[in-house]
Amino acid sequence: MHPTSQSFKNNARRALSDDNLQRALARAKSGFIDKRLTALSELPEFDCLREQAKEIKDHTLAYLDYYLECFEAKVESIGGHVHWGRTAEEACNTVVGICQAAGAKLVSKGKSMVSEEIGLNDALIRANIEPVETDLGEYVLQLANEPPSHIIAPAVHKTREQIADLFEQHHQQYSHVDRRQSVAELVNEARLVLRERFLAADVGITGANFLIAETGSSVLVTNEGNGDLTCTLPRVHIVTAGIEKVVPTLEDATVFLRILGRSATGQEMTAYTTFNTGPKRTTDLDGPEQYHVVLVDNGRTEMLGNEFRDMLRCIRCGACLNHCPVYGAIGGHAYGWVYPGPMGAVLTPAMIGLELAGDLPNACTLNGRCESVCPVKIPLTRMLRALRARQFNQELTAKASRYALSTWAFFAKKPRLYHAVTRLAMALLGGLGGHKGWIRWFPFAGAWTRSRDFPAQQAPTFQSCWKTMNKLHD
Amino acid sequence: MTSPRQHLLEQIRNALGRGELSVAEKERLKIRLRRPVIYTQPKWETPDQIRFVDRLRAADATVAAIEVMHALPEALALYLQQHQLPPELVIANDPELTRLSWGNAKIHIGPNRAQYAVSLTKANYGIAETGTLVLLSSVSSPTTLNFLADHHIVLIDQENVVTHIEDVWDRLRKARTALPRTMNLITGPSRTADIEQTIQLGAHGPRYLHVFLLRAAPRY
Repeated sequence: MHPTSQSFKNNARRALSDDNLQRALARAKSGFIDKRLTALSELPEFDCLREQAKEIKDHTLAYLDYYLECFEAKVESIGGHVHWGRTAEEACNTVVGICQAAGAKLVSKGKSMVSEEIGLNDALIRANIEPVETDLGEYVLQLANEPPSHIIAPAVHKTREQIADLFEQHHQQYSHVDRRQSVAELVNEARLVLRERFLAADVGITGANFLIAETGSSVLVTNEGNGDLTCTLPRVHIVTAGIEKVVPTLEDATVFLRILGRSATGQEMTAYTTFNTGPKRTTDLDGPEQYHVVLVDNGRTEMLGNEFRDMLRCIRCGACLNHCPVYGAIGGHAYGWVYPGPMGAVLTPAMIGLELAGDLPNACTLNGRCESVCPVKIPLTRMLRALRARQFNQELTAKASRYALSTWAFFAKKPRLYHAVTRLAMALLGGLGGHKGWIRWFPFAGAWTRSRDFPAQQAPTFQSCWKTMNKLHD
Repeated sequence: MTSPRQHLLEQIRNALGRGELSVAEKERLKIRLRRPVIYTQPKWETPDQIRFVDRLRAADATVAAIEVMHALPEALALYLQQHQLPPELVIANDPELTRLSWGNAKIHIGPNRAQYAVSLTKANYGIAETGTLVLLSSVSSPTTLNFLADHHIVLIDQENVVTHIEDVWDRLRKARTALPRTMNLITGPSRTADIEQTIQLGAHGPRYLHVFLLRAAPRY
């Protein structure tokens, strides 16, 4: 997918004036937050589990080479294949190669963020292989030719009417000519259309929530059942997964099962949690003949070696998105690439480069809600600050901001001068505010004050208050 | 030329600032793999059997109890009647199910690529913690039975209901050397909230999940 993170400001402006989007976001936000809270209220052990989950991930990352090799050995011992993709391109080529060797024309796909990240659908189409997204949200977006705007609810930005329009337009060819109105009718029509596609597909591609080193299993956590049809019906099953998805044992994975559903949708357990371990056995009556796992690096080993290692603990639950005031106001598309919200503001610069995604770490108030709900305790605000510092050091920050900061630093290093200047500035600001106490417009900062008022100076500076107080006490 | 595999593993070691692990360190990690630690588990007051049924119902499954195995065909016939369905179903090739006398019902055996509307399978375990059914793929439990029918009917022996998720792992390790191709943990019928956050049952998998809880050991 071609990133548009560089035009974040324009994207955000457009999102704020999009009425459909604003309605959809308002509905989604409260739903996610309330459901999570209810689920947590029934599990007093949740905070303890968060700490354990963090420890398990930290341990696994510290021995990542060992656990990946264990996983590989186990998968091969049961007749599966493990492939290693260093870059998005290498991973895509591997998947396309497996599909071509299987003579595949049609591929059914379960929802997978890593497949979005490496641009797998485009690679398949270029090789004349048709990918069909089968998660309902992803399917809607494939029809609309749009990327997902949320990592667990990809079509959260679409209204029912927009989905009805898309189905009416695209389902004529399957003799569904009437326009469907209700959610039930729309879901049913997609079920009928996609069922045929599941049965016709030659290869099924899914992601993985976890890989288990002990057993060689890939774990899929879903609700619709599309992931299971994708990995059961076709002749070949391909799993694409980031290298950070591996955990040592079934018991380790269990800790994550207890926090993932609750953090994502407020579910204690999703409808389907599936452990796939290798291809069909000789006595099995169904299941794929081939089982492949493609392990994807795509920037992850670099993060492992720098200050962004903690980000590799992420289990893609979406809680940080749901609790972010910026995401809640502009939705996911404004972020311009695959991963939106706080986790995206860290991952996107790490994966496509800070120079292409420089606005993302700045689109944050550092309020810390994301961090307080993160089930694996990722210090998101620290990492966003680190990205800002990097930006400044690499001189990627806008000239105006750099000059302003240098000017401030010049004065800040000279306390006497600084106090004199701030006293003057405070008096000036107080005057600008008039008797209402709010400043509606600033010279050179029109963009900032267009949607905000700045509180005018009400009292003398802190330093002069301090001096006066000390004099009184003497 | 180094292979992508070798190169990627080297990059991981470089990032971690070390070379390959020593034999002693690998041995330590192998022990961690062989003797898994159980972390914090949820606690509750109600008996497991009751919790299991409560959680299943909370996940939109329906549950009925039967006292003996041979009561199953009649109980199932009643379910089909209530849902105005013809007496036709596909069942797993499990002797406990196939040897029952199914009367007038039209019975198909095996996987469900033909997409019969009603399927009947047996769960290997139940988990009280979450109201989850555990189904292991095998010749007598093909996976398509769990996903392609509109009504998925599952029989579970009360004796196989365990307390926590980890109890299943423990039993599996004692009973077998490797996991089956697929282990399905099923908690309620298929669902989606992808359209306007409205929960709709029956997205791609079964619209209904009905569980028969067998109270006593099978008697014939």
